[in-house]
Amino acid sequence: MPPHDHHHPILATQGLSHRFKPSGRGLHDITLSIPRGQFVVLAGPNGSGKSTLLRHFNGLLTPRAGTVWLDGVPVAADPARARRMVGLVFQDAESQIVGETVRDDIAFGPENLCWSCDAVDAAVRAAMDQLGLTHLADESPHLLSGGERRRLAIAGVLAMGPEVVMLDEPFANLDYPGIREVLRQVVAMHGQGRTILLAAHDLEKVVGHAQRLIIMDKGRIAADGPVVDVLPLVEQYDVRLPCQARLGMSVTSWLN
Amino acid sequence: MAELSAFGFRQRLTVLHALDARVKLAALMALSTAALAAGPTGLVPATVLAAGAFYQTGVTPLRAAAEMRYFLLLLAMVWLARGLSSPGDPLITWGGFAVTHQGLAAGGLLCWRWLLIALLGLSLCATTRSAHIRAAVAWFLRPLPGPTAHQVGTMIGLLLRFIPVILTQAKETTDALRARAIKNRRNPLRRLRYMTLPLLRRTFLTADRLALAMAARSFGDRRTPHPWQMNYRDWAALITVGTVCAVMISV
Repeated sequence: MPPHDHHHPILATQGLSHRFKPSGRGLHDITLSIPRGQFVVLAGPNGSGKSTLLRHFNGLLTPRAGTVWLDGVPVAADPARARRMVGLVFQDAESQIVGETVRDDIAFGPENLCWSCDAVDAAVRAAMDQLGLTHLADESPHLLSGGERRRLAIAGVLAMGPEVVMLDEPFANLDYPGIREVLRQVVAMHGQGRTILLAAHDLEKVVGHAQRLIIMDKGRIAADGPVVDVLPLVEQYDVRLPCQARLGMSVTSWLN
Repeated sequence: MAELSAFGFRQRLTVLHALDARVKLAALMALSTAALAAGPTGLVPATVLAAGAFYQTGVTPLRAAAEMRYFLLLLAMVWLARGLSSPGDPLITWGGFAVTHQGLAAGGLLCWRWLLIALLGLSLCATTRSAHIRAAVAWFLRPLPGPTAHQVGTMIGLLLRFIPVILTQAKETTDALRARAIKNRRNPLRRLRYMTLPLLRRTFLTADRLALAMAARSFGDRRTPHPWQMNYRDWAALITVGTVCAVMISV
């Protein structure tokens, strides 16, 4: 990973707005700042703007108004840098996987960055090792299970060496072991010092590991703060309160 | 989910597996072109070569025949059609139709050529990673104008990757329609419409998401080039194939 500049938050927005025609949905005046190494959960009902916000951080969308900064540099000024530094794992892993084999898919990102063959090979091996995919290196992604496919999507992003990893609904359509596999990887990436931004509408699985909870509603930030402060407010915004919180207990990890 | 084809790449320790993909692709093109011009005598050395290549794939002849059953059926029909349609000495006469010696010989030669080309192509697929085939195609396309060679390579790769996805989506759509009694619809056009519209929608949606995901992973005009390495085995293979092609055309 490139050297860190600790003076800037890794991600920040000022007055970010985006509008999709003809629905009028999008983002409205989003201002936030995410310090390096933080584990943030972005929650909200469907259509609240979570995925749109993530795409702005990765440079896939350009703001209609406002600015998005990545480590002190506007994303719009250098979208290629944003894509290198901010990895985005999409909700639909099947559509994200482009390689004909697991190894080819993980190599796709590093090859796009024009790394040397040795560097690509090393990045692919490291990502496969970390995500437990080494034994599947020559398999077709089409033949993988849902959990394996989601791990492959994460490996493809991780091989590019991003400082920030964003995951859009990473637990969707996964069974319990699949959710635990993916959650374990997310927690491990955070343990390595990466900033994690995870969009979810079901908090139960992940909120035990998060340091900050941001609630989005109708394209705006409705609540933002430490998990313990924001959690009691979530049901006002159509987000289900985890069972343990409902019973007055603290939310524990799904990995225990 | 089952393996899609017996001729998918499988790692083995054979000479054919170790050869440079460009050499294998060039050999396939040269032998196929020569086979179209060769007579029965000329096809013999190419058939020996193809049999050797097929042996190295590790696929049993029975499994190969099962995989190629529709292609073999097509060849049988072509053979019969040539036998029936070519003038010459009748071998069997039935009603107003006659199967001729000359027709069967011409049909047999045609089928032999196509079977040979198919075997060579399948041997290439079974012994070469699709990423290497894609890179070899891109390498051969480098001098041509139009989209960059690596873009063409990516297109080929995506095609190979998404054919099984689209087939799975088609099966899911069909199953969903059958669960809602599509069989009761008598009009085949309406049945086709109900099948194709959702499938096309899903396919375009997948393509849209794919483009976004590729952009998110920095896809652009430049990529790490494939590390090609030609050694003595590759040169020996090229010389052997060149010699066989010359023999095929000259005898």
